[in-house]
Amino acid sequence: MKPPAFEYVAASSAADAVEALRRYGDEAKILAGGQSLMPMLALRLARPSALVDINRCDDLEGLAESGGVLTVGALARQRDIPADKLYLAPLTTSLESDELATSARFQLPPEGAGWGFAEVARRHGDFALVGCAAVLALDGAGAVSHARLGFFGVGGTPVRSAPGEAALMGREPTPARVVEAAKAAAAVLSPDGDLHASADYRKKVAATLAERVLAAALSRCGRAR
Amino acid sequence: MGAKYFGASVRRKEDPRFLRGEGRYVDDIKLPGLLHAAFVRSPHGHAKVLSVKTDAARRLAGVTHVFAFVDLERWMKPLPLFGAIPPGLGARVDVTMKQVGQLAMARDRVRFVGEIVAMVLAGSRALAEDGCELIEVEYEPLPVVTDMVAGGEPGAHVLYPEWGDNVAVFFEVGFGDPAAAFAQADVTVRERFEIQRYVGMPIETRGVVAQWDARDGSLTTWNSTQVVHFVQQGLVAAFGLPPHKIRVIAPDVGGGFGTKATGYPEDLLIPAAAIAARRPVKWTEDRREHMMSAGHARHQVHDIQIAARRDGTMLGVRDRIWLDLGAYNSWGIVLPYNTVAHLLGPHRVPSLHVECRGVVTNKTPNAPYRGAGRPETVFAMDRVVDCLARELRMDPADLRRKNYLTQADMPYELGIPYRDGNPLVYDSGDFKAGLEAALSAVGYDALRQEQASLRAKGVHRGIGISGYVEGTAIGPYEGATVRLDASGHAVVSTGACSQGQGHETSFAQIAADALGIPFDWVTIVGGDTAAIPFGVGTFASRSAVNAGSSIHLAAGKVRDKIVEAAAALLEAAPGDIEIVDGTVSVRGAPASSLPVSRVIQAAIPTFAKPGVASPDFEATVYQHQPTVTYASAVHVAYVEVDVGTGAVKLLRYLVAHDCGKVINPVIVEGQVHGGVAQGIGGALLEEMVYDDQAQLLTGTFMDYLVPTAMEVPPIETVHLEYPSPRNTLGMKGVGEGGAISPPAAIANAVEDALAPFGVRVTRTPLGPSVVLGLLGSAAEK
Repeated sequence: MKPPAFEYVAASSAADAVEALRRYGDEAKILAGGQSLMPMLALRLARPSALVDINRCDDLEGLAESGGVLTVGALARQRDIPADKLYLAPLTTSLESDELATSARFQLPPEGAGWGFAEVARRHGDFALVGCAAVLALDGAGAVSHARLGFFGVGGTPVRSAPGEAALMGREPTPARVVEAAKAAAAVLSPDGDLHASADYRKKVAATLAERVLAAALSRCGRAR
Repeated sequence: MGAKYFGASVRRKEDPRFLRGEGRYVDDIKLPGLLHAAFVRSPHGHAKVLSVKTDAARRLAGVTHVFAFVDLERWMKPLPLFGAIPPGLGARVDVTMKQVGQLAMARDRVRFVGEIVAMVLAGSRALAEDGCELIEVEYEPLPVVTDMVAGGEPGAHVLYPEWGDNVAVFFEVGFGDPAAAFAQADVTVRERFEIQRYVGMPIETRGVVAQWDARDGSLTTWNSTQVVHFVQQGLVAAFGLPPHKIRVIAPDVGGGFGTKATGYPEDLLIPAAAIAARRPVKWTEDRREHMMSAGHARHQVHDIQIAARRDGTMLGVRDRIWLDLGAYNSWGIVLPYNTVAHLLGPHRVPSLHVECRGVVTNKTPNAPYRGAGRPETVFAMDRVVDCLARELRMDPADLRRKNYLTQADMPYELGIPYRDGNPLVYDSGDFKAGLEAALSAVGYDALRQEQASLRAKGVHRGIGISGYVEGTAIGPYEGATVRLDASGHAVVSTGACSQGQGHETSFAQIAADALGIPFDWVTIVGGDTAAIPFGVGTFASRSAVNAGSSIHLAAGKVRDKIVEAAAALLEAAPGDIEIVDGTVSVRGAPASSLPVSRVIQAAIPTFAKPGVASPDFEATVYQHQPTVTYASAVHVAYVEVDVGTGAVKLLRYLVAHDCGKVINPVIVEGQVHGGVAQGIGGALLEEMVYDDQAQLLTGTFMDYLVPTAMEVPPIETVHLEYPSPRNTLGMKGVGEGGAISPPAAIANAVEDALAPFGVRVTRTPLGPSVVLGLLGSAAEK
């Protein structure tokens, strides 16, 4: 379990890293934390001819909030890709071989929003078999004014649930409606089975967790003023 | 003997070096000119090897040597086999057994994924692996056997054409009149249980370094093994050298668990490579290799029945047992018979019939792993006992109270021989008292009340009990040499090797007490064939009793020599000599005190006079242990099951155990904790999975899940001490015990938690998907 030989490039800036990526074409991989890459190299499942290390790229660091948006990483913007267009499959994104993800930007939830999060993993810290997260906000009349519901562990990419969100938006989130939204959200999922959990398990538990996280999010909601 | 150290929680001598990173493991051995080895391993579960082409690999820059079977043929004797049938057992039980030793490198057939086909040496491990990629092996795939039950039937594909079938071990054994017992019973319960394939997973993988010394034609090999003398015997047989020319050293070893107590191809291949290359060679097993080629364990099926009266009195047990041995029957009678001998455990059962089959399959060969048949058989028994309790509508604790043996029953003969051929006679203990101690310490009645009140609120908690009786400290011996140096400090050499158990501490406690010297004056040397010529090794909860007894007796002999020399020197009667803390004195004459070193120096001849005694203050004892001594325990697990997700949370875990006289309570607790952690892994997480093509699906730590500190709750321990009558110090083994009961206790707790749903647990590990599946299928009934 030792990697095959590769070139090592220590990039000093994002531009430097992109330049290196261009030089090697498809043959280079970015080395950031190495959590996935290093085992892949050791198992010889990945055989890049070069690793471009971005750990010394000072311009890729930072954390900033502006206009309700939290930016993690560089503020300089090159090309924006919405999250649902970025993730294609496990370990696969829509980035081109000479592109580098320089930052991630998150829309902050509205004031008074509540959140819920739940996952089932075989062990503490393992990839979730199924996971679910929700953010809800209510308007003055107690109807849902903001709904975000997402799943992970139920497919090759994170899944944001349009039917789950739609089932709640603009409505009063009664317990029955929460159950209905959770069911609607889980119904359209098509997870895979693996050694650790069957597809059927993931689908069933996705509904259970969605119900729980929506309830938790509601319990944390403050009313809008 | 005054026991100053025995029984005290003396701090472990070995810990400072481990905590500072100053231990020395096989991979830390660096030698000038060292070459690194890597292996080509079979990607097929079963195949003929038609050709091995090595030319391209030989031409790769950095690669120095490439070996296929033909290149090493003269040394390729079958690996050592274990588990021959002792005469005493053969006389009582008719065993059919077939054993073929694995060749260190496959000649013309591979029988599991991971079997070695070729070896490459290079200046670095990475280059050696590059070389391996250039070796072309032509295989002709053969049909595979993956199911032990179907594979044991006539007509299955066979691994060994000359056998005609795959049943490598078969026997029936029992006592009493099971037919009558089942005919008379008010209630009988039958269930089929499967214990999954799971394995010892030491933090330090295996590793071998070997160096050939052309000067005197001797070989030194460092091996992360639990059994240096067994490794030496294998090398003696392969190379035809006398034992003293082959030195096997196990330096610090980071966990063994039985996985490192078996014979491995690399034990031979790395020394053979060092001899052939005339350069030192190192191989460090990587985790992927460990997963696919280090000994697997546990996988069994039990079709078990129990018969009882309406009041819960047990009348008889019948069991049909299958063991999946993997591709080679390296361990003979050991695992099958261990399984049978430990089936009934603490229960009084007047009749038994067992039919036992060990079946070879196209999977990694099995080796004993912490418990070695006991966790499997206890799972079957304790699960069927809980099924019986449910059938009788009896509290599972009460059913056990009714049937557990007590001190008044000791000695208790089971009616079958033990694996060593001697009668299976429980020598000591009080299993019912152990049960009561466990139930009282865990607060059983209060937990039952809590369970009922939470159940009403939709919270599902369960309590599970499991008890075992374990034959520990199997002989026939472990030797010890105790020798004093001129300062009166002692060196103790023994064949028992430590893999982290704290031998340097526990054995020093025994030696210091017996010699009358301070604990710090004792150095323990284990894991070196040059230190003692004969040995067995550390496994089977055997070292405290076997090595400890020999150390105690040898140290006593050395003490007698000091007493005699001191008596001559001080002109006193030997009976009046006392040795305390390294000081010799005459009873009632404190002014006469001398350090032990003075007595030793007085024994060394000078030009003026001969010594007062011979200065070899040294003794060797190979104490014979004809049979085992019985340790026991009761484990209680308390779990909560999320019926929405199937997730099992272990809330509490308690162990009440008897390992006889405790040498060092903290070390014993450490052993119990480590064993329980591995048992929790078996109950909830760990499984080596093969597909129907005999491909291993769990090749990394992302697939094979070991428990972390987050999955192990604080373990509560109650020590009970029923001294063993079978050795001078009253000790019993404790190394394996912790791992035996958790799968049964936790499975019982999960079923108990889900009792309102009518769930029956027949298999581990109980991952959330499995548990939710059980709930689903129970709902369909």
